[in-house]
Amino acid sequence: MDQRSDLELIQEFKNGSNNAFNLLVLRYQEKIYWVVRRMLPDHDEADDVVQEVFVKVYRSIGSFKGDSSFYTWLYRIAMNLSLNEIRRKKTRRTFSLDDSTMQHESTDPLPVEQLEKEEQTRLIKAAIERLPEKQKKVFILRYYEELPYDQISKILKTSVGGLKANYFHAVKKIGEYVKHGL
Amino acid sequence: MDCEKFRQLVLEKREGSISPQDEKILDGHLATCGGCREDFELIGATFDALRDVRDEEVPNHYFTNLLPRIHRRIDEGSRGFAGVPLPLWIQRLIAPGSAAAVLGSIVGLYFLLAPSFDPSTSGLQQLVSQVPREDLEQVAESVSYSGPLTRTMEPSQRLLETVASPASLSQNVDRDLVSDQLQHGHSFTVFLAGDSPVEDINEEDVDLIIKKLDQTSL
Repeated sequence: MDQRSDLELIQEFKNGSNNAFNLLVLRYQEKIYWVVRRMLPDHDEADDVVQEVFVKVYRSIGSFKGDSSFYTWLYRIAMNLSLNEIRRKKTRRTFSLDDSTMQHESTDPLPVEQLEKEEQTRLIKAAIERLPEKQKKVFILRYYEELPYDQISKILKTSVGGLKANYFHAVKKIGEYVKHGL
Repeated sequence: MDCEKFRQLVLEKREGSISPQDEKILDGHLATCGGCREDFELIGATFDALRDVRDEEVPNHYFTNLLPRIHRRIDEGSRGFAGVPLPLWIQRLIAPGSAAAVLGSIVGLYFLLAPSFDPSTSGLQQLVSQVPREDLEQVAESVSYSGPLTRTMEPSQRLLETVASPASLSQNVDRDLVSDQLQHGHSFTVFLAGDSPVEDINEEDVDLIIKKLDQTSL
């Protein structure tokens, strides 16, 4: 594991070191993938956006002034590109559920308990997918990434109070979807 | 304390991060407020359900192969002559260069068309209505990759419709339209926003831009 800080690597990258860029990608690729994947349930779509995030970093590193941390900047890019993708697809995408968890290799009937769990999982994923954009972003960064509110506030440029309200409503909405179905 | 203020405490209790003092206050409130008790139960059940959700699967070797694929994409977007990639410093000049060219065109168009502006409409409306649709579409096609000023140049359907029928514009600056265009990184809004990268524009900037637009005597 490379011990150099993000800022050191960024400086080296700005000086022309592609290796420094590679190290930044390797350091953050998984985190960014999961943030994007939770915004876009389809792997191929997420993969496309993840690549675009790092291409953008590569091309725009000059505009990174270091006022915020690198990962704040990175998360913001990932969130924005994910939302762009969602909007771009919105008009032609009918609501679909990722049914990967619904499929099973065996032809044996699943136990009732497992079927119920899978139905619940399906509902939760659908509920997250249908959250309003703002609530979805906050929910993913808070619940999955476990980021503190002050960091989310820097990434999304929203007040902490607003984030807390968004998070509350997001969790409540997911609960209501699961409780009452879609 | 009204129920609004208990929301965060409900979340904190369910996340296990509530202080003993706040927990006491919340418990007291929950004992007397049916609405908050319902929220508390629902939030708890939701977190329980969320814990059972498995992560999606990632294809084998995905993360091993990602870096080379990113580099391929960078190279594809920056081929120079005869398929030879441009040096890094030139690649980095391309995005701001494209942005400058695009913005220059838009500003040029504006000044070219300025005499026909109607002073009774706002700056944004005039700007939008005077930029020919095909130019916007060309802008969309001309910038295919990211730059701080021109991340996505794709005109939204809404803008195209607006441009197609400027008579339908309202007299006041349409806040939603401005927000929409900011989200899409459209050239003229980016231009009016100054040097801020698209992803750094927030609601306060939107207000500022609207103010600028209102003050702009186009």
